[in-house]
Amino acid sequence: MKRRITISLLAVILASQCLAQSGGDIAIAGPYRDITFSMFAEQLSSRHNISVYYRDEWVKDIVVNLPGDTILLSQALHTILDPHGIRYFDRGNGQIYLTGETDIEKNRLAQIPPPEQEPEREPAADSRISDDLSYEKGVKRYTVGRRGEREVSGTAIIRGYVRSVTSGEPVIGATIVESGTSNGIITNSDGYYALNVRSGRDITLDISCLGMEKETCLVTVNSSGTLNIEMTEKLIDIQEVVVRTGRHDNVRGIQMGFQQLAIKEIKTIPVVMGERDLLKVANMMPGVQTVGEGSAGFNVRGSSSDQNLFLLNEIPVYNTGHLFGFFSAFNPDMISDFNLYKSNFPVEYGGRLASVFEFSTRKGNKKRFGARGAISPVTGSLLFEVPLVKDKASVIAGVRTTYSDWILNRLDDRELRESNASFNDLMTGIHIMPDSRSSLQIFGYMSNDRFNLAGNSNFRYSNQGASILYDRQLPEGWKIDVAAVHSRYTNFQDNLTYATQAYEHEYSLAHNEIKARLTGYKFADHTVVAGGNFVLHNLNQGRYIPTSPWSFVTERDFGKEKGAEYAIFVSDEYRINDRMTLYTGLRYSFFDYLGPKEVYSYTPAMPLEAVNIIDTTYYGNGKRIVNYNGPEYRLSLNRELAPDLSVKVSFNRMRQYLFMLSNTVAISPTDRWKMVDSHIRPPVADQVSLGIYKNINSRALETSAEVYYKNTRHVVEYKDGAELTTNPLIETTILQGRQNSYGAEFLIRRNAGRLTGWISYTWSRSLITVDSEYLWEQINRGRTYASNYDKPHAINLVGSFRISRRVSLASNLVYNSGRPITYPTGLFYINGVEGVSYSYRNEFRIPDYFRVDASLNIEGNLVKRKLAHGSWMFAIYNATGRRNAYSIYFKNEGGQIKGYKQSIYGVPIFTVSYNIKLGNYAVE
Amino acid sequence: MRLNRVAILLLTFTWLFSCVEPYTPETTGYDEMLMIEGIIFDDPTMMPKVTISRSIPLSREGGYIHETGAAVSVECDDGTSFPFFEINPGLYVPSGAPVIPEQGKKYRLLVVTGDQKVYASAYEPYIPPTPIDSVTFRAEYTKVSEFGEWEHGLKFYANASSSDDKPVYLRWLLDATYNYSVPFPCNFIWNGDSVVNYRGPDYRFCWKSLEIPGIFIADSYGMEGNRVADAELNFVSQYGDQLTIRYSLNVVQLSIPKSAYEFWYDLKKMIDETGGLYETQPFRIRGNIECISDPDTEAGGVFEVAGVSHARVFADKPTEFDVITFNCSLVPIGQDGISWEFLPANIFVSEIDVDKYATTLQQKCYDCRLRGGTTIRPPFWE
Repeated sequence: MKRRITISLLAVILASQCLAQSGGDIAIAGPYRDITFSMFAEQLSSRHNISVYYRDEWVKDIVVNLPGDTILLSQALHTILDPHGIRYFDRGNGQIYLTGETDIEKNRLAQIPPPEQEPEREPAADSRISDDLSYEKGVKRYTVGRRGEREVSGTAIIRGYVRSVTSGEPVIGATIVESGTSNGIITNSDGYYALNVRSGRDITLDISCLGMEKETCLVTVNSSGTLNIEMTEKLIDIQEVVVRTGRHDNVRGIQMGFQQLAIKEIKTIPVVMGERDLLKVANMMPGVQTVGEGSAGFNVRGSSSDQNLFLLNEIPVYNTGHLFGFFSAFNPDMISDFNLYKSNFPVEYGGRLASVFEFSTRKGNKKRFGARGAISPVTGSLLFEVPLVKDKASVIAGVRTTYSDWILNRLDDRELRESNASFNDLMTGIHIMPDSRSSLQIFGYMSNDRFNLAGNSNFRYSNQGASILYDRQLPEGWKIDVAAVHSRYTNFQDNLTYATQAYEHEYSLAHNEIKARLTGYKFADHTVVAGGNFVLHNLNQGRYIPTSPWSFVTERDFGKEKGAEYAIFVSDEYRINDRMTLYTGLRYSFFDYLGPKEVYSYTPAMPLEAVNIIDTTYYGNGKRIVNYNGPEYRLSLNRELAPDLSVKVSFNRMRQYLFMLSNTVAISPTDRWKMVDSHIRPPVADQVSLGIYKNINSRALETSAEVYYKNTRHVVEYKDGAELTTNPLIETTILQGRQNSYGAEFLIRRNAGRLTGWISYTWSRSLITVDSEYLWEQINRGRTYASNYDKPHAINLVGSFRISRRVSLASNLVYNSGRPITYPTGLFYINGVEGVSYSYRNEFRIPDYFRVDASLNIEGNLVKRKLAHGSWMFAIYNATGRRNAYSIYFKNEGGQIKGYKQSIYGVPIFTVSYNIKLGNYAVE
Repeated sequence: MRLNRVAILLLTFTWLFSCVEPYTPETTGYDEMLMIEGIIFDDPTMMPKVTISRSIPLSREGGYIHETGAAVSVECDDGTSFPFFEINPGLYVPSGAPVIPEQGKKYRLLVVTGDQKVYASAYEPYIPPTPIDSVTFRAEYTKVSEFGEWEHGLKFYANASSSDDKPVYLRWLLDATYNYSVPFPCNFIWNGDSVVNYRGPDYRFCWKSLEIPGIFIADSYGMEGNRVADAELNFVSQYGDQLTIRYSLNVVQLSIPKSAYEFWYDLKKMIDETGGLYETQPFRIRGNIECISDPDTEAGGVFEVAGVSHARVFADKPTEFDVITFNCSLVPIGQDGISWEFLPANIFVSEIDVDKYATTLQQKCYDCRLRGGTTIRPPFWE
């Protein structure tokens, strides 16, 4: 059906429509070949419910030719109309108006009354006139600052919060762009933003975010002031298939080596056992690897897994895995999103060399009660959110527990049948916004794991944490964030197999921290951050205690450690011009290793061994044993070559004062953390990176290529066969060396259309050298060797294809080089048995890893008013059934050495899971 | 390490999906390494010996290479030297009076190979023997192979303690003797023509001795009373003849220096448990012997100065589980069985009725010697 209207009707619409060409994010299915414009319009109507209004004479000569199966509507219209000089505008709601040769935007701007004529409500200090002159839904008119007030500099700062209109939760990562310029900003984890604009004029702000209706505000800027913005969550009323991911603008943002994921983005990705897991998805990002599937810990850009800082609402989490790492210790329903920094670390983060994994939890619905739950073969979870004071305060709690014993009870293996394993976690938080300028969040976290093997060995570990986060906008364009953080990690093991050897050992780590950060937006083109933090670490390395009256184990105390880690920092993000941003920062960190402690001295030029102890010094409580300190530089530059193309370069130095005692390939729950001390120096890493970023089709396709080089000094390595569990003299087991990591990461990410996802390729190396003039301080006789996690090639493909609004297919493809391994290279015969002679450390590799997964996701009906919404996921993990090597080992059986390969998931694994939540499909 | 087992198996239901399969990695080339194992005892009844071999590729191509023609001696720090000579290829024993270590003295092994490379151990002290408190055993049900097979059997344990306050490092050499029988008496023999009465010696009861390979070690570090408690020795399976009547384990306990102990400890770790993601990574093993003429030459091995103590323990047929031995069933001979003409001559047969005979083609059911033992009762047998 053809729709026509007269130009006079068009004029009426013009008067009430203020937003021009704002759409364009609708993807349409192609191709179209050699058809008339009217046929094209009809097809848009029938296929996509998009109505196009035009005059026949404008389009009678147009022949439409559009190759490609998915095209953005805006791009299609430009391609078709631009050669003929025809303009159009997108009214939203699937209505497109052709305007002949009239430029609708200019027309619209001409109609906006000058600021002086506006009605003005007398505001409190920083005023916001809200909704007093709304032209239409989606376009709002505001005045910021007092009339008559003008900034001397000519620059004003607009700042405030972006929040969801339905839940009141902050909208993180929303992009606020001054229309027609490249001036823009992204909201932080509190939904806060501050934007420099020219004062004394009208501007248009476009606010967009994943899953939110795009907002446009007409703002009259008199002087600096507050503008809080509410965004509406997107109910997919029209047949729109655009999913916009990657809220971080990778071209414009200063960040590099940065990944961002929202939990809703991973909803359809196939996972094993039905557990949606951000960390497992993060593992498919370039530069992030693990030593084996199902193992805890990540290796980011060729660094060991204890060099990652996991922050959950500012709480450092020291063990991030449940069941040894098969699942992450973060309930996916509670997490709203997470950021991963691999380089170019903001100055407020320190203490780890390789990365920061920053998790934000949902803050709770402040408008109405919400609940959701999920059931998978392994776990069940439940989440509640309750508004305490409407729009002001909310409480949220999520709990997750496992019921895996039923699986263990079905096993053939008797020892396993008599075993049990369980875990649970709980997160709860209160979020209060007493006024429009401040917010307070109190958050608590707990996770527990326990295993019992055949009734005679127990392993337990748990994380506990709490944080109080407060932020407040101060006058004069400053904002302050303060936080008090507590985190505690404990692990426990006992072994009761033989009564005469029965023992138990408990370890604990406590982290108490205060931090403050002041952010200043008041300087034109500068965003200044300054602050500091102080952490008191208390580690109890625990005691070996006999646990049965018949046990002959003697009690052994591994001692306690106390340390103070503190830093001050300052940074400046300077927008030199529209096309260039420079970030400079300095963090100066200190570490005091404190008594009470007995410190041993060893004979100089002799191996650090118990027999070489020559002296013992006792330090009293709180007495400083050793101090380390040093600057940590942060420097990065972003040069935008074009609005969709930029080049970035960065340099940063990081220092680490705590490390994990682990000489196994994977992190194990009995691993302990240890402080640097008078014998062990803090590792220091310098990283330079260079990246190029290109967006295609207005961010529908994001591409990036980054190269990096990282040099780490004093990296902690372990002597051959070091015994960490029974030896209290840790310094006798450790050697420190040099690590060189370098690589190139390529990423193509498609954010729009029916098919979304990414493909990444990483080439990287991670090499360690431990050399010394003394033979006993060498590893591998001083030769360079590959680290345990050096995997030169990694390819990840994550794709999701939306068949209809309720049905989607998703698939992963993972390939990487096998991890290095020390293989036997020879056999010898000794004492009647075969022995093996091994190669130099990590001289060989296990076979390459390859896996394909697929899933089918079916959402419940899309009825808007419904009590609860359910969704099914049918997933197949390792669809090809490839027996990927998890480990390769050699055993002496009947006097002969035999080699074995173990695979964790040696067959395709099919899982069905069901998720349910209160409300309709779109409820977050 | 138990943790690894927890991680890999228990943990996770992945047992349902995981699998273990034999695997031989492709390793290009191998490093030839001289492997020296030398030991001297304070017990004059035990023969000091040094075995020297070279490591071979994983494929075992060509078999083991004995290092022949080496000049071997043990030196004491008082300047005396005890030469050895090659009695078998790669096996060297004292050519004169055997060296008996004495308290307060240290000894080292010196080897000069045919290519004029000199290998030496560190000077190792003599540590007097630690008495054996007891050797115990109990019925256990144990996983015996990587493929998840479980067997009942007897597990042996050693207990020892030292009145000294220094930790003791122990290694055990084990050999076993067991008494077993065959089910059928040797009454009749088929001589190829007819069945005649057998009048020779009885072959129903035998004793068999065997050495038990393996690395059995333990130390008293961190244990109250400087003791070694429940140190694991060997496991004797319910399958076979070993537990059918009576089993005797002879335990030779060696008190050895720490450096020698560490070699065995590393080696045991390497062949018993290495490879898991939660285990210590494997590494190139060294021991207490080095090539002193060329530090770049790879060498491994151990020289032990051992203080010896002995113990013997007897175990009767266990009642906790069934002992499953060779299946003997008689097959009739004649019309309703095997035809006489197919039977080889001089085999034992049993009379199952008047003029009716039966036999087992496996003569192991009549003659216990055919299972490797001897009918001579050992002098120590109780």
